[in-house]
Amino acid sequence: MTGPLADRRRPRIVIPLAQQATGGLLSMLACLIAAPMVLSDYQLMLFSTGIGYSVAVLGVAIGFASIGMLALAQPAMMMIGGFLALHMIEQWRVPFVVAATCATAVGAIIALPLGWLTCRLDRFAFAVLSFTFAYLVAMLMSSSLLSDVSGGELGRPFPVDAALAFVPQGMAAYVIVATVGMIAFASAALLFRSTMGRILIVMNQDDVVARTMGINANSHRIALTAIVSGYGTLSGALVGQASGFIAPPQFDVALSISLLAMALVGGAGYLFGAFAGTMILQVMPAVLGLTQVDRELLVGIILLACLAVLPRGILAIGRRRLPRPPAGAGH
Amino acid sequence: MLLATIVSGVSLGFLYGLVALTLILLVRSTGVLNFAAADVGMLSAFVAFAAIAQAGLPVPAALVLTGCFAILFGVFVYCSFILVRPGDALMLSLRTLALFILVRAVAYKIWGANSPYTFPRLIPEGGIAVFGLNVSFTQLLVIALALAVALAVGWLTSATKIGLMLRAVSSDRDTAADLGVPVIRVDLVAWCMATLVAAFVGILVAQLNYLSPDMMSPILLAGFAAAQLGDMHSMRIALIAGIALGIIQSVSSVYLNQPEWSQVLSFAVLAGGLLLRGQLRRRVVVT
Repeated sequence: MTGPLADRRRPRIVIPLAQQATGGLLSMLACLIAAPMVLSDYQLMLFSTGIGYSVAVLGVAIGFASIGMLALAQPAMMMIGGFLALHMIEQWRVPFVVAATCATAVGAIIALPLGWLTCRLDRFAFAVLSFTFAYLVAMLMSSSLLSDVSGGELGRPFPVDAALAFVPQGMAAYVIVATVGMIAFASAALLFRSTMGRILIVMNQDDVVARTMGINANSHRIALTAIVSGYGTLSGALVGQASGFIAPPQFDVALSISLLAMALVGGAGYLFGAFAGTMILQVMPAVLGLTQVDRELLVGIILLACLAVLPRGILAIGRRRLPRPPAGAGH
Repeated sequence: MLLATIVSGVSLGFLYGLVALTLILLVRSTGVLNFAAADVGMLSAFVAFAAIAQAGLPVPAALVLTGCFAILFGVFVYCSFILVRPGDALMLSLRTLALFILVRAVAYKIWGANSPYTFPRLIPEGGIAVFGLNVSFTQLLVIALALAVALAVGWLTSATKIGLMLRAVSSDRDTAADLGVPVIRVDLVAWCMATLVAAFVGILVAQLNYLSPDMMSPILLAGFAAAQLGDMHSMRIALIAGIALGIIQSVSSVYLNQPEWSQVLSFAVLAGGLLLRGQLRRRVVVT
């Protein structure tokens, strides 16, 4: 083939999330394998709770890294997913994996109409609306209106999956949470290698160009809202399984800010960033035995330092930004 | 009873509107969405409380001290969070998230153990009859002072030289700088005005309810809502939206069986308003 089409190469699109995926997944797998060998039972419970939270942070990171979405409704989704999984296990005796999968699907389905309603809003309007939604859900779940579902302020115990009854309880919860968490992170890696992932990257780089090229930005925004919410509801189920307990105060509005902070500190553009950020800001302070107030101080200081010095997150240390292809490459 | 509830809603709504005002002031001048807008007021209220109830200062001196603290805090935040390492509007707004976390943590650390507190009564008990309606002095003063502050900010931004510079910077920052407008000084003025108004709101909220590190959460959310309904641009519309939200919350919390439904209704109003605004904007673009 000759002529101008002969040199048409596939355009080199820089996709940090996809390129770092393999290394990120292997690092995470190494941590998950090593954890039971080096941590005590209590520390392992904190670590597995952290894995649960990291799935919610992953959703926030995906939304932020792709189109700059400020997904502040994750605590609400976590609460919905956690209590839904709890009731499915209690009422219908389904295995945890089935309950968690259903919770993920329900989260995505709930988010579809919400995404459709909000897809034309600007970033800050979406953030305000989602923050208000998180506040509303937290308030309703803590109130007497839904106390039959949530147990009110005191919450409900979360049953461990009966399939692993032969394993010590703490280890059973860890195995389930680590496995499902790993699958969640692997799915995020696949997402950014897919066509949709590339479209999201293009929308982030230049929304106008994306629309000009025929990409329906609104429908992709709606799909992204569903994906982010799905990770949120899955995370709620995982947190319940890991801690053996689920209560509305675990998912207050301050958690919205904390999840975003974890995503930013770890590095929203890196797959392992959600995991790293959660370990630094959620698990490490708990393992060190810091009080809630001292944890908040630590989170605020680390977040501020990261935003000022490392705006791309801790995982960006030592990584240089890959160059954009010169204009006209691939044409 | 309905009128009394409406008056209560109006006083609350003015506070929402003032928080919205501080948000819009900063967004228009610096492009930064300040997530800590309301909690800076909470910190200032605690400073006033410490000055009056713990240090025993006379009320006027304590209020002047609080005002000075608010202004200096605004200068500190601008210099250390914004000026020291400039960035785009999103990054700077995210730094105010860190400020939100830090301000709350500091307040909990210092005063959290014995919260909530009862703020010293600055306004006498009792009330007056207005058109046959009993209105408390607190509510009257909140409405009067909030209206005065809103008018003062409006006058400052529309009829003074600094206001002209604020509008120039919000319109086109680079061109304003090229024309000799001292952009950094204008930003500082905006931040100081915002923290001063927030301090005023914090003290009034503490007067109306109680003083605790988390007292401003519902105020912040409603302030955000009112600011968004004003499209992050119109202070007048944001103030009206804040008052409307206050009235809706107040009336619905009295007449609905469950007080939580008032929050649901507020959320529905916010969502409806934002969606309608989005639809109107889309029609304007299409036509």
